[in-house]
Amino acid sequence: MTDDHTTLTTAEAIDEQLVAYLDGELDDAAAAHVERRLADDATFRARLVQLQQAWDMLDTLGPADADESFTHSTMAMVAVKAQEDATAQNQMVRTRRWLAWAGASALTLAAACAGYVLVRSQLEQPNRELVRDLPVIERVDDYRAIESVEFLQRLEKEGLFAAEVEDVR
Amino acid sequence: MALTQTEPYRYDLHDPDVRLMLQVRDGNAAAFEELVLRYQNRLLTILEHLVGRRDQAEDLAQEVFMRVYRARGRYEPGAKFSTWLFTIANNVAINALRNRGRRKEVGVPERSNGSDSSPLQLDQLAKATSAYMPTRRLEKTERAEMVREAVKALPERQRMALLLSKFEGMSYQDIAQSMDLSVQAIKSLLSRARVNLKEILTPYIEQGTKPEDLPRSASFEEASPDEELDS
Repeated sequence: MTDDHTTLTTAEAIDEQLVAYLDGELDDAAAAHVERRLADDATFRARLVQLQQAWDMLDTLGPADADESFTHSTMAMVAVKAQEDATAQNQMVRTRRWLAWAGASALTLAAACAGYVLVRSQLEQPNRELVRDLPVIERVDDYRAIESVEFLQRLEKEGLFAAEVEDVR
Repeated sequence: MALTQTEPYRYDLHDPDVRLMLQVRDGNAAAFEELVLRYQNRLLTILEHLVGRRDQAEDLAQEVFMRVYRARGRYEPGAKFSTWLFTIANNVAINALRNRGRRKEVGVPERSNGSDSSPLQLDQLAKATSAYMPTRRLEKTERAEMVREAVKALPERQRMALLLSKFEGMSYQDIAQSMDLSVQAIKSLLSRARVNLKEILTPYIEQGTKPEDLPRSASFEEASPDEELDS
């Protein structure tokens, strides 16, 4: 396996190593390797100097200086944004309240309707039973005279109720 | 009990700007103004050299501050505040540069020599600097203008990494975090940026001269294929 420090063969790798050295991004061993090579290799040294000189020329650019109006306009923009946020928040709260009120109203109405239907259904139940049992009620005296269902079926088989059956049909 | 290696780094304990941002999260407007005051010059410096125009840099800086403010509610300190801020700045600036690039594609005809990638244009820029033999020394302002043009000629990611390194003194780790790239990618990017800068500026450094006519900047061209890093 080759040592990383001994593989600086391509120009790109050399430049990477030199730039990392100038930026203080090499570990101690790698930095020591670069320094040994700088001491021994004039071309390597010249390359480092050129890179550093170009880097130093960036100092001519200097920092930007924001004026007071920039700060004020930035804070004004943020204040407007904060106001918009607050308005949107209030609107959202109002919308949520309205939705909650509407939902509660709808639920109440639905519950009332369901209750009405249920109560009405319960109230109508005895009437429906009376209607269903009406034929029996009308002949309840006859049925009381009958001793048993088997006896009645026997009479029906003998044709005793033929006329009544015909009427029913 | 000793702290373990796995314990998360408490940025709020070590970075006063993180503490300010946490106050902004809690609704403290004065804390936000303090952050603006602390960072406006730093942000403008990076953005002005990145986009090459003061007015656009101011617009972008305000956009960055607006995004910081909008993000206040969900802010969680996961990095130094400056790293987080410049991550936002990088996204805002790259979007702006690409939008400008797209608009430019519509309105500007192809250059006659057919070169369309940044490295080629960098080569041409460097050759042009060697070819001219001007007669007078550079004044300071001219030198600054020349350096500005050289920076503008770099591809946008090289430019951003270079500016963060130079003006913010950020480590490779922090630049990688801000630009969402690996540390190795940043190492490679910065190396190429500085070599490109050297290629352009060496004639000036050695001869102290300035060409009469610099080729047009490659600032807003699409990133060249060799910038597609394996990160």
